[in-house]
Amino acid sequence: MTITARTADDGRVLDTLARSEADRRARRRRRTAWVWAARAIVLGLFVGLWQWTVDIGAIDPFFFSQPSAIAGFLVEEVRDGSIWPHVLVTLRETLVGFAVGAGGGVAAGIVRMQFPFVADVSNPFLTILNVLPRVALAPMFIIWFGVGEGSKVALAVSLVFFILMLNTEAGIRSLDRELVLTMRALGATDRQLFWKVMLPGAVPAIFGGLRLGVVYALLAVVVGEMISAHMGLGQRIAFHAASFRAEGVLGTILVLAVIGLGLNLAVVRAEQVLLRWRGDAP
Amino acid sequence: MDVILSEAAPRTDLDLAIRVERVSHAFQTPAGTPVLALDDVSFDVPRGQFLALVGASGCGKTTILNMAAGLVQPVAGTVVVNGARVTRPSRRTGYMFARDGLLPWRSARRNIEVGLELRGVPVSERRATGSRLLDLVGLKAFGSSYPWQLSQGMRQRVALARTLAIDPDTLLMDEPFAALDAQTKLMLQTEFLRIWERDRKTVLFVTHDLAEAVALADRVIVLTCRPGRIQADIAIDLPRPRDPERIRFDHHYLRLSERVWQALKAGEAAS
Ligand SMILES: Nc1ncnc2c1ncn2[C@@H]1O[C@H](COP(=O)(O)OP(=O)(O)OP(=O)(O)O)[C@@H](O)[C@H]1O
Ligand SMILES: [Mg+2]
Repeated sequence: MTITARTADDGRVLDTLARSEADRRARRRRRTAWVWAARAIVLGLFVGLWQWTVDIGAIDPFFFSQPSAIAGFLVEEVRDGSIWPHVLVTLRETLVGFAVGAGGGVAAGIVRMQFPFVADVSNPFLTILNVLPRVALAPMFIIWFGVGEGSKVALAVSLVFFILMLNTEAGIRSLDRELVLTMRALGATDRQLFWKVMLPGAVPAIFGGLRLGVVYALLAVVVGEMISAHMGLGQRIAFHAASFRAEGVLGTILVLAVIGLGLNLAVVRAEQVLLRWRGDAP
Repeated sequence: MDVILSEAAPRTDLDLAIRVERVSHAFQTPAGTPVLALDDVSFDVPRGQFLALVGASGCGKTTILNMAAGLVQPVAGTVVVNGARVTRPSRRTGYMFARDGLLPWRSARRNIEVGLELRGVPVSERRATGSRLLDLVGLKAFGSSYPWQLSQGMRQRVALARTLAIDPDTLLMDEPFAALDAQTKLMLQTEFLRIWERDRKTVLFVTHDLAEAVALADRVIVLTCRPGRIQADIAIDLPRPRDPERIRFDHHYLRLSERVWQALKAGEAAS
């Protein structure tokens, strides 16, 4: 969209608009800088205090470890490269579980919304499965899918599936009836109504589900690995805990936190791209 | 298209755009007793006529439009549009509501083009029509704006362009300008009349605004309330082209408005 000044007055208005916009942006940048500075201070204080209290012997490093010990552990793990295979396994299990669970969940939500009969029949079964604490199924998954990656993927799928199914359904259900009516009056067939109105309308809700789902996928995989696995960061945590190495447990948790942040960021970015049409509207 | 509206000329079905024949309709209420919304309503709309429907709130105006649009089936009677009994939405009919119903994830241009997209019109043709209509409703510079970036009047213009884009034979309009402020309303009425007077499509126009009905239409039908019946059928023989802004001071316009208003009063008193 281009706006050109037609008169001197228009020109002044546009100038003022540009200036206030620049002002606003500068103010926002300054604020962001302050927020980050404050965050760095809080983190520094926390880490410093932890390091110091252990140094003076106020708390026992056997239980709480120490920032320097955790850093040393991580540096060592990275230098000899022993952590990477575990990172790879955990990441792979999480991504596969997330993708399968999300794909299946969205598809199930769509099918259930399109065919009320299917929805009615499946309701009690899905409700029972959904209220069941899925982690309780972990031992069964290990029996069915083995100690390898399959059982972790299955656990992740069992969590992500329901999150996405319910969010997709909520998204489709919450659609403005006015839009459906207008499009129908414009000659949309059921099929077109679905692809051009219902699905795009459900995208924000689906992304809400994806953001939640990616975190739960990682959770499920780590729990599965902690219960029984050959490889993976969850298995490392269980291993270090069994040998009472607090810095190993905490260091691995730190790595998991970074992975979780990365996954979350990927979903948020995808959301920003796909939901560009929203702009910064409320 | 020129249609001669003389009572003497025998009307063939070809001259008829819409025929509403002995239509009655009832809705089930939550209380259980059905409410009679329309009672034995009949009227014909010749091709190219601009017909306004007025009447108190809840007297069945929207229901009539929904029937003509094929969204609602009458309990009794028939609605015929372009020679065929309406049983489902037709792609030759455009329907516009008071609320714009724009898809929030589509730009103004893509909203205007959506009806063509549904009909499988090729992209290049769609783009051409989209540009023409953006221009027609005065939104040339806003084609890539999303609905939330447009004012209400602009959104309603996009909705109008979307309805016109499919080039319908028949236009059904349910209080299309009701959500606008007086000034924007007048501007859009003028604009719409200018567009309409070029190709004179059949229009069935529901409004609460008597001034709007008389200023725009060739004919005004006044409905009574509960049950909806036809109270009066008034020909608006004002010359065209009309200017909705200036016609308000015309003597004949004032007389016709008075008649419509009297009929509305009489209808309310009767029910
Ligand atoms: N879907 C529905 N279910 C039940 N009753 C309905 C339904 N739609 C309309 N009615 C009833 O039918 C009557 C006519 O409704 P309609 O919407 O056609 O009125 P209207 O003339 O368009 O009113 P308004 O001017 O307020 O828009 C009303 O009394 C209303 O209560
Ligand atoms: Mg209505």
